Amino acid sequence: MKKNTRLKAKLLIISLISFMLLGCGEQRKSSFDIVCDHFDALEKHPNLANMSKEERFDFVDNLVNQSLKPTDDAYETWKLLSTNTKYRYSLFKDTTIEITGKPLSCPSMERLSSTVEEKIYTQSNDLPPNVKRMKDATWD
Amino acid sequence: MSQFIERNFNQIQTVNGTIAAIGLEKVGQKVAGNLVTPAVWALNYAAKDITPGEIDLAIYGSSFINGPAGIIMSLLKAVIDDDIGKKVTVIREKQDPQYRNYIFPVQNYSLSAPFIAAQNIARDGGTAWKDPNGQWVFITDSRGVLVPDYEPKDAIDIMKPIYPFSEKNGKFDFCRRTCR
Repeated sequence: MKKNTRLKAKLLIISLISFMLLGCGEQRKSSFDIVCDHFDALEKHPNLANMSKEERFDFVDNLVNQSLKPTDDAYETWKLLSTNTKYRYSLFKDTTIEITGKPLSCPSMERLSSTVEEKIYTQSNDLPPNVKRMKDATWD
Repeated sequence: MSQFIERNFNQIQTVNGTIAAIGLEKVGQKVAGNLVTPAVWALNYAAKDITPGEIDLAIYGSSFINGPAGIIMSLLKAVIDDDIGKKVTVIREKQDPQYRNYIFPVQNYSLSAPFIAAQNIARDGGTAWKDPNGQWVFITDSRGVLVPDYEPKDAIDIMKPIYPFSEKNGKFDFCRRTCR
């Protein structure tokens, strides 16, 4: 009887600790929140008004490179949206909820996103050889 | 090891609902991408004439898998591949016959989570979409070229480049679902 009671008590303690740890885990910032923090830092930058789109991008990009690993989902999302200024915020938010299951609200990113863009080296409205419209594609 | 897998191979390949049971519904997230060993490739090749995919080779190259964990992972990989294959077959059957052979799971395109892989495809100039069965797929033409303006049938989510097309640094501007 005593053994059973002790065992139950141990299980109860282990369960409580597990719940506490899970609780702590939930409060931890996701990597998507960290990217948002970098936009907060950009917004607070004393020289923000004088920074070009590219300088703003470099500022955030440097912080992302320092804080996240290339294998991180938020890192990859940030990089793939480097020139997609118009839809960056909505896609970043959508990706956050898809990956983490939790919504993201990042007012600084929403405000600044259209003014943050990777330096453009090449630009074209024509399709490259590895992309074809339906009417030009081959369907053997 | 290979005998164990071989004995269970048919069962593993045909078990329905196993993915959900083991909590890996979000196939393509990095954990799922790591599920492979050469033993399974060999069996797949012997049984179905399937050669290792890009994902398999990338993981093998990273020497991620070894020992008993590798056995479990490889079994899961087989189940997952089978689950994806079934879903993609359903999606193909909804599209016009001439396009069916050129529709592939986004897991074939990148190691990323499917939602991110779909964005990678749109950024590179292709159309990716999600079927009501939860699987993200994309289309190429018969020469493997990405297509930016395919209109999928029965899609609940779409990623594609914005028209008129704008490519910067090799990346297309793209958006989700209702873009024009």
